[in-house]
This record gives sequence, C-alpha cells and structure tokens, in this order.
Amino acid sequence: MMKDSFDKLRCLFYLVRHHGSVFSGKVRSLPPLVLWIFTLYQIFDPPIPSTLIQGYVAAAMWLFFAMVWFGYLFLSDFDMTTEHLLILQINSRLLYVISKILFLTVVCFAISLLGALYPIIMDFAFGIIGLTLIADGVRLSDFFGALLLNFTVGTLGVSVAFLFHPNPSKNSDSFITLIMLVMFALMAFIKHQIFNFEGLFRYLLLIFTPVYEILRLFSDKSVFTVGDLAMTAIQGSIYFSIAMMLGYWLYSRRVYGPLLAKPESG
Amino acid sequence: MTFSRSIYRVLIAIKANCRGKTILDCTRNNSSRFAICLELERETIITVSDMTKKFGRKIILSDINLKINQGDAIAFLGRNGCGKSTFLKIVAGLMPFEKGKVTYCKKLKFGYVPERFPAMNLTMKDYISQIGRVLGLQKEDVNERSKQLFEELFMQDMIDTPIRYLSKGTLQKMAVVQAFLTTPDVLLLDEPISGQDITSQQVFIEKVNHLNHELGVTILCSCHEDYMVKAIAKSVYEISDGKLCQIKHTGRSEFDNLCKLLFVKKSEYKNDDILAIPQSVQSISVKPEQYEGREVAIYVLPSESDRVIRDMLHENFELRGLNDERLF
Repeated sequence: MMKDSFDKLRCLFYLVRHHGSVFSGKVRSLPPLVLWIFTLYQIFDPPIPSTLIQGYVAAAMWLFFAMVWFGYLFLSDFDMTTEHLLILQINSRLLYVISKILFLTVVCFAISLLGALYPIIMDFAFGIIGLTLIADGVRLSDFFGALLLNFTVGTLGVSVAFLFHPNPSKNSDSFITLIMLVMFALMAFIKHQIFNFEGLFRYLLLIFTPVYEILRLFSDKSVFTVGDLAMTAIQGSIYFSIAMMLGYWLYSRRVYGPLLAKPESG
Repeated sequence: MTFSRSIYRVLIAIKANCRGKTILDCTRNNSSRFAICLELERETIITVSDMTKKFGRKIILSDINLKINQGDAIAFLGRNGCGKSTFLKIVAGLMPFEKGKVTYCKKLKFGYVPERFPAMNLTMKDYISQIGRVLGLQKEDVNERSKQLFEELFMQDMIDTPIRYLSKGTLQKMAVVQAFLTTPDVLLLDEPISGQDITSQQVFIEKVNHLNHELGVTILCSCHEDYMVKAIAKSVYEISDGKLCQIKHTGRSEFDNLCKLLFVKKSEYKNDDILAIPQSVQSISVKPEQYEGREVAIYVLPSESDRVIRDMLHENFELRGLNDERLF
C-alpha cells in the first residue's frame, strides 16, 4: 500500500516535470505571466496605494485573470494523442488530470510568491537609493498574508480554467468555451452588481467563483488578520475542491464517456 | 504396436500433463514421427459486447462483439475512416461509445503506437528519458533501453533533434520506442509502419512478434499492409459498414514457409508507378508487394526461388534482399 502510494507520488512528480518541460518552451505560455509582472509594476510603482494591503488586493484581482488565462492556454494545448499516450502509460486518467492541476498549482504558487515578494524587493531597492516605497514598513504577516491571498485567488483562476477548458476532441466547441470562460471569470467580480438577489437566492451566486467575496474581506483593512485569512482559505479550498470534482466529472464524461469499462471478472 | 495406439498413448500423456490445453490436430509425417498441434486455453482479457459507436448521426461501429484472449494477435483491416483506430481506442478505454459494454478481466496495462506521434519541442532523448521516469524506470535503465532501441531502429543520430523537426517515419519510430520501453499486457498498433523504412519495419515486426510469442503480449493492430498482417496477425478482422467480420486466416505459418525475395528496378527505367513483374513470376508467387523506391518483395516457395530470380533479373530487376537480409 505504502509502496503503491509512493510510486504514484513519484509518477506524479515526473508527470508535473514533464508538463513543465513541454509547456515552458512555448511562447504562448508567456503573455499571462507578462501581464502579471506588468500589473505588479503598475500597482507598486510610486505612488503606491494607501496601504500595502490594498496594493496586494488589487494585484490579486489581476492574478485571478492571469491564472485563468494561463490555465486555459495550458489545458487547451494538449492534443489527444499526447493525452492518450500519457494516460495509457500511467494507466490512470485521474492521476493524469491531477498532474495537470498540480502543474498549474505549482505555477500559481511561484507567481504568488513573486507577487508577495515584489513590493518588498522594490522597497529594499528604493531603500538603497535613500527613498521609501512603503511608509509603514513591511511586516512578516504582510508577506505571508499576501502569499495566501494570491495563492487562493490564483487557484480559483485555475479552477475556472479547468471547468471551461475546451474539450480536446471537439474543436468546434473551443470558441464557445472561451466565451463561457471569459463570462464566468468576469462574473466572479460583477455578479453582485448584475444579480440583486435577496434572501436565500443570493446563495445562488456562490455558483460563481468567490473572488469578490474574498477580496471584499480586505477592502478596508490595513493589516492581514488571522480570521480573514482563515475565511479566505476556507472559501477558496471549498470552491476549488468542488470545481475540480465537477470539472473532472464533466471532462471524463465528455472526452472518455460514462461507459469507460471498469475491471470485471471475466 | 500400431501407429494409432502410439498416438493414443501420447494423447493421454499430453492430456495428463497439459491441463487447459486443447488438442487441435494430430498428423504423421514421412519419417514416422508425428506432430501434435496444441492450443492453450487462454484467458479472455477483453470482451466487447454489442458495442455501437456514432460520430454525430453516422454509425461508425454497429453492435460489435469480440472476445480478445491473452496472447492474441489480431489485425483489423478496412478502408480509411472505417473505424479501425476508433475501435482500438474504445478497447483501450480512450473513447466513449453510445451502446454496449467493454469489460476487462483485470486492470490491464496498454501500450500504444499511435498513427501520428505528436510534435513537440523536446528532443527524442529528453522525451524518452522523461517518459521512462514517469513509467517508474530508473534513469540508467531508461538510458540503456532507449539507447538499444534507438540503435536498432537507426535513430541514434537524431536523438538530440527536437521532435517537431522529425520526419513522419522517424516520428513513427519514436512512437515505437516509447511503446517498447516497458512490456504491456496489450499492445495497440495504429498503422505503425506506414512511414518507416523497410529495415526498421522488419525490426519492428520482429520485436512485436517477440512480445507476442515470448512474453504473451496481446497485439491489436490496425493496418493496411498485407505483409504486416501476414507477419504479425494470428487472426484478421475486417471492419466494413460498421460491422466486424473475421476474414480468411492469413497467419504467420503460411508466410514463414515462403522465401522472401526483395528486388529493385534498375535506375534506367523511368516508369516507377507500375513495376512490370513478369507474368511467370506473378503466377507462382504470393501477391507481390510494391514499396517506395522501385522496390518489390515477392514471396515464393523455396523450390521456386531460383526460377523467380532468373525471371526477375531478365526483366531488369536487381536482387537486393533474401529472407529479410539485405545483400547490399
């Protein structure tokens, strides 16, 4: 049992590395990352927002879109033959899908880290030439809070991309899924402006990604509190888990079909 | 002791010692020895029942029933677009279908040689190395195994070339290398040799037969080449109008008894489209196979080979190969 789990983990590790080496060499992987770095440059270029937290919140919003874009590009890049070969080689469709999500999560963590570190590095650089970028100074909690916020919002972007990535076997659907993806990503921010539901009906809006709800937690705060961060993590992880399960079910059903045979005694 | 009593005793002995085997035939040859043909009762590993597959409204496969036993080598023939590749993918669980059932006796490991290997930025060496690690092989094992396969398939000069720049034939060989890194339970071959050079095709066929004969790997092959079918398949099915029909067995044994002569038309002949094979040769040979580059393979009984060579040389052909060995 232990050996089996270890083998699966090792397989997962090498699959993620494989995805990385295949996708990183492609020019199409760059635009979302350039967008993200440009956004950081714009937000943390003097004069920066009134507090560091507000800057992080504004950046997190763009990180959501950057991860939706990156996730869509990555997930729509695979052709069916590559996918079939990998699935047959590892003998598990679930493990293959997990490896793709894990790759996106690793990328999300890396650029979340960059987002959390960027103002700190810039503050240090400005300090060398005798200027101050962040008046209140940087606390350790700011860094970890920003990392968690960025990572949570980024993974929500991954979940949206996974829910709406084009079915590789039906190219004609790809434009429709792209439109749906953009609409769904935008709804994460404007759902409360469009749908003014009262009472229990407002829970229907939980169908859309809870990015607005998460960012609103920090809208008028000057420090990250444990309560807000815990709420962010809980909301994000619940939505991410449900979206992943739903996405996997839809993907399996459409691409590989409900009748995929299970081992039965002959 | 009469001959029949001898056979009876042998049959009893075999029945006692070989449980699960069926005696198919018992024949006596000229030297008073006799051969007994046995067939192992092999386990059915995949059962396809009443399976129907549609693309839109078009029915590609209709109510297909097939039992695939361990160690089978089945070739699927049919015109382009008839559903051969689709059937292979359905058997491997890679494609949904509208009706029916596919059941496996256990969790099977499939190997797959696709018709078109995807182009990517990685080099062949890097790709195989990464796939080997994904498969759970040690780095040294992957290097050793892939080096051997690259050499056997004449690819060692291209291992550092990005896959996207490789030719169709080399891509197919690449697909073969990745499929042969480990030993699967079932090997799916989707038109695996259509772009490969002749020598690589022979290596490929030998390897597939080794897997099938020695290791009991089940082979499911979609192809068009008659010699490939003869060289690999134990049973042959044709897919036509959505139906799967078993066609005449063209098995290896018949093919193996023949002598393969490989000829090339001399260069001064410009008409490459149709090689003028003498009528006398056509009448005594199994169907000749024409390859690219004015090459033609002819299968004849060994006793007829001298006559065929003489007739072909007379028609300005050069003898290039004999029984899968190139003369020059």
